[in-house]
Amino acid sequence: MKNIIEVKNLSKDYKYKVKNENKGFLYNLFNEQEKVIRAVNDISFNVKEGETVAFIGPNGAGKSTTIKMLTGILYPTNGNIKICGLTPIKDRNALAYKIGTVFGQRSQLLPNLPLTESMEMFGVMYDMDKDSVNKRIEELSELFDLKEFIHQPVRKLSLGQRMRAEIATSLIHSPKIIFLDEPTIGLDVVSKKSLRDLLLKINKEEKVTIFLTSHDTEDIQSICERCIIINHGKIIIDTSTKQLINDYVKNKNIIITPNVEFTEYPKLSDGMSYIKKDKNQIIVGVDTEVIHTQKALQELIKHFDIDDINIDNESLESIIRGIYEKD
Amino acid sequence: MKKIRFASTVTKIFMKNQMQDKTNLLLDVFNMVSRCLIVFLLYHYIFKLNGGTINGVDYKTTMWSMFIYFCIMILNIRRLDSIIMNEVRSGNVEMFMNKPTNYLTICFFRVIGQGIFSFLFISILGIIMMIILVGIPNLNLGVFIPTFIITLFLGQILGLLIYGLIGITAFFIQNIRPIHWVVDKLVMVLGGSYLPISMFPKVMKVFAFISPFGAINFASSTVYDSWNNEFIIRIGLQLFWIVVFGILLSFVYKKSKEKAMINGG
Repeated sequence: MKNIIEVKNLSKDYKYKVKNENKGFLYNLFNEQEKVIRAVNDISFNVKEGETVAFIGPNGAGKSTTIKMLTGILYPTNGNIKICGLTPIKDRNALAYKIGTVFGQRSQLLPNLPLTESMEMFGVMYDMDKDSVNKRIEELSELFDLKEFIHQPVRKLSLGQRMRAEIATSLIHSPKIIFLDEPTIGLDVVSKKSLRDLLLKINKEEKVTIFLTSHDTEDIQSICERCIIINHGKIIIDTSTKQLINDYVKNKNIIITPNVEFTEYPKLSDGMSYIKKDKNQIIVGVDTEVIHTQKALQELIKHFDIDDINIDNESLESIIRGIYEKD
Repeated sequence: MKKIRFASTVTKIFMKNQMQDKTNLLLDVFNMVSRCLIVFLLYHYIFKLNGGTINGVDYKTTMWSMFIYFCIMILNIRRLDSIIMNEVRSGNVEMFMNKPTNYLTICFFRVIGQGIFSFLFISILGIIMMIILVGIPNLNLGVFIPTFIITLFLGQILGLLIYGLIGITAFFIQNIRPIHWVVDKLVMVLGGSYLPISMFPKVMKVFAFISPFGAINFASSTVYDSWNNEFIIRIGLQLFWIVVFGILLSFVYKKSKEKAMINGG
């Protein structure tokens, strides 16, 4: 598979004015100082055609800035970007035909009109003739199950329906890549699941490359085969999602239910600690780099009269939290 | 051909979007009727005091000139800068900046689409009302009809460029309202909103004639006798200002794209 996104030594600086607090209004009026923040700092990565990539990081890490540079909205300060062989800033128009964008907190749909009208408008914007627009609306309506609300005014749709509509509209011109900036933000669990399934479907059926940012680890785990983690503008990890979990799962949680209620909580060996102490359940965290899970289990069996026992791996969320905190 | 299809589709869809809001149309009608009635009663009295004409122009011609100005205002090209400013401030501008069509072009047809239904509806109603209340103006139709269409069209293009330029400055400064206020008032005064153009003192007349702000509303001068001798130079001036503001807008827009900063990146 060839690279569809190529990013080399990409940086973006933001400038802002600062006041000298020790000086007066007039001094600051004529002697404004500029500060520079490096939002994205010399990052490089490639994405292959058909890949599903999560581009994640804490707030202010540089995710959205990067997506906006990749889609030609923002000018990079340094570095090179090639999307489908095109440079976003120079070839903004040509690139627009190859990419689709969804920004979870914004809408491109016309609120008072049915979804079909917005889809028609964007279809025409992408030079599609009437028949192609109608055919594509039909296909997307089938794929995204839009039929029940496609003729309703957009402002009357639920948030989940609206997000489906936003994604369907951004696919009107059959782009090769779709960039999604927090697409599941604010959705309930059912809508999130349905949206994730749809994204997987368009990746499989329409071979659309997915490049997504999200704070929801379920999005990452269920959609993306690869994770790029960015913090303070720098890429700190670029690996497959599976590998990320395998490499970073150091902690296991042992959940114990007693035969009779717990009354005492004896001191545990190094590498083991109580996460929850309750008369009906205790959870013990085990650092597998310090103590082997088998040894930890043996110790717990010695201490407690156990009815049931479960061992959980650390969640992706806490793995990612750990990575952010360490960086 | 593709561009014409794009323009007509965007205009049509935004017109439909606006037509859903019937209250807005009713308010526009109310606004037009009340403004016309107040102004017409006031100037009827003033013209009567002056023996029926002021600066050689009669009441009927003056009222038709003001009516044309009010109709142009209903088209509401002047809201373009607020639309752009709000989208720049909210960051929603990014939804259109990665489309294959220039963002400003989308805004132009959007603002036309939003205003055209009210404009056509109220203009047609207003013409009937004017014929009943004021009478048919004395016009050289052979000159009036083609030059009115051309000057109205060019004036609105110029308006889009000027208000577009103000809107685009939102990329550089937080609040463009003071600039909007100054330009808007110039456009209103020089277009004959407060005082009919026929009553302007000489200096104001010259300024309205040569300035780009006055040129937006040259259509309101088409009912005066002087139009027959001036239309070539006036249309020429509109074309000149369109070229000047077109170049300026395209330069500032290019710079603003480089400068763009959108919240969350």
